[in-house]
Amino acid sequence: MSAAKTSAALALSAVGLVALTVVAFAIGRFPVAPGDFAAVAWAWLSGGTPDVPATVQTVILNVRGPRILAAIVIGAVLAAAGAAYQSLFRNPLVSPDILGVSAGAALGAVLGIFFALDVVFIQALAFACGLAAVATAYFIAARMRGHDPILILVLAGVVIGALLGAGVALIKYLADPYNQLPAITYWLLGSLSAATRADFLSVLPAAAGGMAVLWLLRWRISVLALGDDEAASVGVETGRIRAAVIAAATLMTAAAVSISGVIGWVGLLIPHLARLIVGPDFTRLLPVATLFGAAFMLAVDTVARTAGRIELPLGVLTAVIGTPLFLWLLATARRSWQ
Amino acid sequence: MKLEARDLAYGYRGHVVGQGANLTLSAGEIVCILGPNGGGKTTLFRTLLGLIAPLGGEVLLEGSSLHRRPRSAIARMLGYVPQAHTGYFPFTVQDVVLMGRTAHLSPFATPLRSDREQAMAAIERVGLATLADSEYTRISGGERQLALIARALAQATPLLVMDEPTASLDFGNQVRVLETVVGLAKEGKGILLSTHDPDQVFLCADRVALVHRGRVTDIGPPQSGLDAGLLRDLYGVEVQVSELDIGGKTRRVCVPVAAQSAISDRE
Repeated sequence: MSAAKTSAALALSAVGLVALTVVAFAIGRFPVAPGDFAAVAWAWLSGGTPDVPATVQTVILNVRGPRILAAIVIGAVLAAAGAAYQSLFRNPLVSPDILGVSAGAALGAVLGIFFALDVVFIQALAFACGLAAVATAYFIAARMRGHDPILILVLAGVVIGALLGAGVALIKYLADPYNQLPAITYWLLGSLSAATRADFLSVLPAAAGGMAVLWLLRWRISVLALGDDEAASVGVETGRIRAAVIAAATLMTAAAVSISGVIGWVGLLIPHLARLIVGPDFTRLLPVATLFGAAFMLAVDTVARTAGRIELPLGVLTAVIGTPLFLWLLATARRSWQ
Repeated sequence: MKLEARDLAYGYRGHVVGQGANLTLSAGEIVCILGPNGGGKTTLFRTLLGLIAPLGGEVLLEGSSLHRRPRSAIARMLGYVPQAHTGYFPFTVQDVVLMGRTAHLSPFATPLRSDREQAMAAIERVGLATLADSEYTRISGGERQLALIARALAQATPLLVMDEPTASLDFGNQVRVLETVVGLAKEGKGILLSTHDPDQVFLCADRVALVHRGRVTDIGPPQSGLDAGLLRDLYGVEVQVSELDIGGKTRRVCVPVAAQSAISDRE
């Protein structure tokens, strides 16, 4: 029954993602006819030259293409990392930034903007600080033996996140209010408007690597949801699997956040939604959540760039869409979860 | 196959719960652990399962130290049936039982058809076949306990550790679980189980060990070793141990005396 549901969910979301991609290429300030899109896509795949104006080609290949691919990858990554964390921490209300990765990345990016670094360095700094924040929380928790390892890890993450948040607030206070502060605020709200092909390519290795780890460990991640003692007693090296999952999820989240800025809700909401449909077994949850996340992010980003006269910040949009959706899930979930 | 604690000190860092424990569990026997609440039974079990390191002495599985073995190697020999709890996510009974097969899978593998068949066989063995697709979080406490026993059966280990497997069950389910336990021992599994009920010890144990005031005392077969004096010591209440004739066999039972006198006073 669940297997059939999983196949149906996968097939539907795959079709939905493809349809959304076509729509996303077509609409925007510069509309692209589906025929032109098909011609360019075909030429790109076959190596020929398409019979469409150069502007259309530029829009498809250099403007909209990288942005759409970035949205797909970032949505997939955030949802997969969130699903892994929810199983790992045995809590359906956990998101990928529970251990401070977003707070770390935010401080890194904000510092980069404050010191007027080149955009590549801002991204690199965001990525490095995201990893460093989680590593700090992890090692602090590892030093405190004799406690519930999961509780202490989450608390360490929350505390580190709060400290880094104070750092971000300090930089905002010190920043030039006409020049730097808008850039900082813009980054903190999340956006893909500046996503380039290089951005997309720079996230890809970390995203693929992290995904591969989660996929390989999918059964053991499922078993971890039993609790440490029970998972260990059926043969799981709980500490090591947890470390591997945290490393993988942090790597991919940090890479995503470093180009998009902080985007909340996706990593919390999408795994939750996927679990309601296919159940908590991570071997089924991971692929479904990944596809859902990709489709959701692409839809939200398409709305962000087409709905208003100015770009809407992604973080704001995900919250506006996410809150009612999440409340609806909570109201319906009482029946199937509890 | 043998699990052995030698001069074991157990507890948490900076807090010794018990020491000088000597205990063995061999294939085909049922060893009951009897002790009051807070006596350290669960801590002892966690140490015997290799979930926490011993503070002194050692736990030997097949003659070599448990704590240096990989988890999967331990899990192929030693199964664990915890007290039934609600669980965190709505896994189906089948999913939960299937997780018992983990130790038999390579690190990156997912269960095969043969694993699913073994899980289903274990579910049928404990009589939960009709609930296989139900959510583990929504079945009754007794059914959950049976599902956890099925998981340990799917794990296919020669030795089993059960932490108060009857604690949250009604009378009928308690008897059903104990019958399953006796059946497993007859098939050659060694079972270490803790309980609060001396009658259960008389019913199924080959040997009984008392866990009390940081000491583990193996007193051998309960029919000869477990008497009213020891039970009074253990629980701090007056009891009387009598003998009943059940189907031509003598079985001991334990009855509290204090309650009796309270009742007669009221009359």
